[in-house]
Amino acid sequence: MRLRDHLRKMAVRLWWWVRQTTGDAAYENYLRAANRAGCSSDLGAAPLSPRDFYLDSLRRRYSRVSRCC
Amino acid sequence: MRKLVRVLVWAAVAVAGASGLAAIAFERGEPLNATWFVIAAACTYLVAYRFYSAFIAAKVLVLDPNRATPAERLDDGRDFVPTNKWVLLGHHFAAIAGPGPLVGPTLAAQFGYLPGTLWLIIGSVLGGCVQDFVILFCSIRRDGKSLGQMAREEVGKYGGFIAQLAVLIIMIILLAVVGLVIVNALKASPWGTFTLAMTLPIAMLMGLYLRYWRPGRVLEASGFGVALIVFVVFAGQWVAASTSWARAFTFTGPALAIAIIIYGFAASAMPIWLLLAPRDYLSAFIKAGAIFALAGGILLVRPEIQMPALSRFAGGNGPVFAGKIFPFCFITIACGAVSGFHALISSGTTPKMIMRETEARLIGYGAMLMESFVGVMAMVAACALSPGVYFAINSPPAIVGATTSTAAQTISSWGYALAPQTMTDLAHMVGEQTLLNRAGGAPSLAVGMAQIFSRTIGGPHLMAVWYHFAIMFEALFILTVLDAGTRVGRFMVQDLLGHVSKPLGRAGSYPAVVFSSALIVGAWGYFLYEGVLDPLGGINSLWPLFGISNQLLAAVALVVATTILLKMGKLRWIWVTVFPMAALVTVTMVASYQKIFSPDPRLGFLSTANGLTARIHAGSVPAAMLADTWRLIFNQRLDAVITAALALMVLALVANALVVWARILSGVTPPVLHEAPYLATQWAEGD
Repeated sequence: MRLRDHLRKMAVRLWWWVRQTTGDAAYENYLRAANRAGCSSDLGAAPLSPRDFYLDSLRRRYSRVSRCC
Repeated sequence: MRKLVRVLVWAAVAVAGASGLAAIAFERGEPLNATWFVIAAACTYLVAYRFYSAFIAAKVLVLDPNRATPAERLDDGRDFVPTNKWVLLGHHFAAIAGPGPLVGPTLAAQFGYLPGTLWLIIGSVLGGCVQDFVILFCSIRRDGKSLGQMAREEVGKYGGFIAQLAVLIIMIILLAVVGLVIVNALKASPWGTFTLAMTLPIAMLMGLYLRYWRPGRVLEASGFGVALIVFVVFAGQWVAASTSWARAFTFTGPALAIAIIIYGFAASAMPIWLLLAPRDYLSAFIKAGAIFALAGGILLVRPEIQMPALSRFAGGNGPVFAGKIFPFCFITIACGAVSGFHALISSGTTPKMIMRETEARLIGYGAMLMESFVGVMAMVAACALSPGVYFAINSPPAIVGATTSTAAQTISSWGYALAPQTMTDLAHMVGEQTLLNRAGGAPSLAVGMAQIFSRTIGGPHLMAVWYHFAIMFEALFILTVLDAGTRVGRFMVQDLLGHVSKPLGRAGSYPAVVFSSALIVGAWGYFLYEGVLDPLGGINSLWPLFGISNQLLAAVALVVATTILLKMGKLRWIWVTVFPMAALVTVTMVASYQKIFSPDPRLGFLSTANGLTARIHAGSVPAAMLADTWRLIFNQRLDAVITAALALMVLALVANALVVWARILSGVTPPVLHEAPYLATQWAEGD
């Protein structure tokens, strides 16, 4: 039982890491940051939609050196 | 008691690392197992991380866990995002790991396994990791400023300009050389070309999915993308087996070069979401999978190293590229040991996401150790091939001939036995018409990987699939570098053009985008096309040029790092950055001098140009070859000018820095740091 819990915890942790590393959870992170900031300052009056956030994140990522040789 | 156990464990790790290094350094004439490479590298990295990086963190940089990082102070959920250190390690490693640590060590294997392996291990521990770590720290303390901005503020305005110009030139050479690697891997290969061509519609399908159906759902899109990629790797064999389909996907080198140039232009001007971003996701997944598979394969198969410790080409005149171990082993290995390009990542996205200063050690120093380990694995895969096969794949036809019999005869005369039938059988096993004359490192690495993988899963009859999987993996992430690099290069060109004409500098103006894309693609496309036509294989001149420019950028980064350390009052520990900086400046200056002025026509750009000019004037060049020869002469002189320009820029920066250092040390100028003001973190320990 304890081993199963331990394994499940590890699997959850690994899944979280994969989602964070690949950017799959980027929008959720953004919404959390928006809530923290109270939808103020440079986040704008309302948070971006998933599609707008995705396009915005791509534009910013590929406007600078993002991949090395 | 616990302390004693710790001391004993670390002593054991150090002894194991020393034994590994001794085994690979002193083994002569006996079969050497690849496990020794893994032990030597892994134990040295562990010791270096535990002690050297800890020393730098505690004594030199004095990392402060209580100081708020830019991710905390400027958190906006977009650029400045507090990110868990293990997640950021993954991001940072994915960003710095490119084709360089795979291709460089494979090419450097022409000297034998020893020089390259030692430089990969020692160079990374004392140079590359230090550069990445210190620049990351400097950028964190400056709100995530770029290397160019830091150079401008801390060294002087010339520093910033030189860094910006050097990056643009490196980008052009880099894109040309990685394009050449793809061309040499795919020419006359219908299976490989089909597989890579199919990644375009697959990436576009993923792009549409991520844009319209499930915005940002990267894992879902990548899941079906990877499944389709695996399918097209298998399907490639049916294309190669069909006469008409094989003809449709069989291209010559120049035709492939033109296709890649057109592709580069299209990818740069197309919306990012359609091709570039989804290809990047695919590439990242396949890259991670292939690197883990290679590491696992080497540990399971434990192949024997066939290459000697030092080949007969250690003194120069190697068929893959010209030049002696010093300085060309260092120049060729480049990214696996020290990469100036990493300084751009360490002063780009990563410093804006790090949660605590102390995590810079794991991310800056640790990620570079991982990259170096990838380089060691590439060296193992290349050196597990028989030397005869390695040289047959990587030598240009002008040196070994264009048929299996002439290649076997020439290579055997060097003392590396090779039967003509060996190359024919090997090509047949991997599903290719020929493996001869494919300089660039990718095919020999793919053969090495396929041999390791097929001994793990599938046996010899899966060798062709593994080979094409490896080629697809290398080509896919080279194309990602090509896409992303062209796009960034376009922004840099627009930035420069903006000083001349405001409309050309506007990022949103379509004519300006097309014009600047054409300029950047035209620049690297020119070098790529000329590299393909080069009778010595192109790699001979382009890869050293790329290596020199990359190492010069590393020297720029270390000059900036040294200046900052001096201003921080760390004169006592200044050797931490001065030593690798001096080594890199020496290596690159000697290499630049030899590439420009060496009297050896295979090595020196000017002697090649002068030799060809003399042959034209002596009337020994046929009339039909005159135009091509003049073009070759022009290119050699152009390469000489670029090398000289890069070397002079760095010398100017070093001179500028020496003046700044002298003024600080003599008290003429007060040491003014441009750090962001101190602010204590609001996060509790463990956040």
